[in-house]
Amino acid sequence: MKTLPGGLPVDENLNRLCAMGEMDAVCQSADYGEWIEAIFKDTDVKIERHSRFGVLQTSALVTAFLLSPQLKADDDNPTENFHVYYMLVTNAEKLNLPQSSARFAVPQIDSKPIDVGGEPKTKSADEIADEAEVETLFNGFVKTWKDDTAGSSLIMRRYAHPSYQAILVLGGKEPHVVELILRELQKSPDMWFEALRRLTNEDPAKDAKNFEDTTKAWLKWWRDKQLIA
Amino acid sequence: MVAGQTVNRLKCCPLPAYLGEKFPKLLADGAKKTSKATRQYNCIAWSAERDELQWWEPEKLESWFYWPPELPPKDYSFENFVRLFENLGYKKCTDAQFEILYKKVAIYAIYGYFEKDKWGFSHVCDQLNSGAWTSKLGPYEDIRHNSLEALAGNVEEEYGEIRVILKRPCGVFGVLARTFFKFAAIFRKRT
Repeated sequence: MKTLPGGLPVDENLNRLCAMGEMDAVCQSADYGEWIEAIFKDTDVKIERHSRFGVLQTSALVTAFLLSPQLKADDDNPTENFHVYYMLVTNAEKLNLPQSSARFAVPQIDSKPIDVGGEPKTKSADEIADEAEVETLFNGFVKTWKDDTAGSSLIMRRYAHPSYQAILVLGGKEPHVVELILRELQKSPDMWFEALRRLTNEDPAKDAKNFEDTTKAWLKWWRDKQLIA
Repeated sequence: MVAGQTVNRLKCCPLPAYLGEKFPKLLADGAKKTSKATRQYNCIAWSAERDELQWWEPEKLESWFYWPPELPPKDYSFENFVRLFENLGYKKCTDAQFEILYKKVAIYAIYGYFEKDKWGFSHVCDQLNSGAWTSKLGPYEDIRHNSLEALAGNVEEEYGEIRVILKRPCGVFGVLARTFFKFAAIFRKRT
């Protein structure tokens, strides 16, 4: 029987969630919270209830993964994929989310600013493989986020989306994500500003007057930090 | 530049294919594109004040977001969006029929969009002097569409249901313009 690291059999619940397919359908399902709680039952992961957006914030991270393109590409074996995700992106401390923000629920991320400057160093084969895996996860989250929210008239909904929040968790663990976000911002400008502020603890665009100014300020900040090779 | 200043207008152009995919009923509606795509403003800014310079939203998530100070900040309830238009002189009415003396706005909502078991604001559009409607579609283009139903529904990025219609007197210029369009339409029908 397949289990999560906590020893819990999860196949049935995961398969039921995966079968639902659509983000809105999953989040609005009456059984959603119960299913997620069942997945984490008896593990040291605490589920933080947060009702503002009608979802459980912790479980939203799980859902983001469940609905991600990587999983859909290999949905014969969701549990194995989930296990990889669980090990890579989350741990008990990260998933136990003390909700401190009155604004909207965000995962707690390392408060220490990420060092994005300095001389580039030579990377080992393992580091390169890890970065490739992070990039694959990141691209999946970006696709889901854009597919679900690109046309929204309200940015709150976009920032609160589970995939956006999952990127924050991933970025809290993997500094490489900041560079992935900046590359994405350069290639296809979008609302990455909340993620960049939270992951870098900086705000070079605090006086910006519009979207374009904000984008330019972050890309200039990136150049100044010598992240462009 | 000040709110209401026009910076982004285009003459009516064919609808981009991608908007037809996101809002499938727009093609049959005969909708036209009337601006370039931009993230400078959203549907609320557009329909409330023709503001093409700021993004209107209850919480100031970015330095360039705006929400009228007399309304509760950070409140994403559907009622807060209705109140925004009531504060601009609109009153709820029963239908979207063209009236020469009144300008109308229509507010769309999706059930469970922000909070479980509640309607959440998804879009607003307003009626032009011709009787057609104008919408800024999120970060995409402005369009002119002939019916409210063209954006309603739950397929792709459609905005759910039309939940509230509001109207306000449109002033002397508005009445004259509407009268002109009305007679022009009658004349076109006869010829």
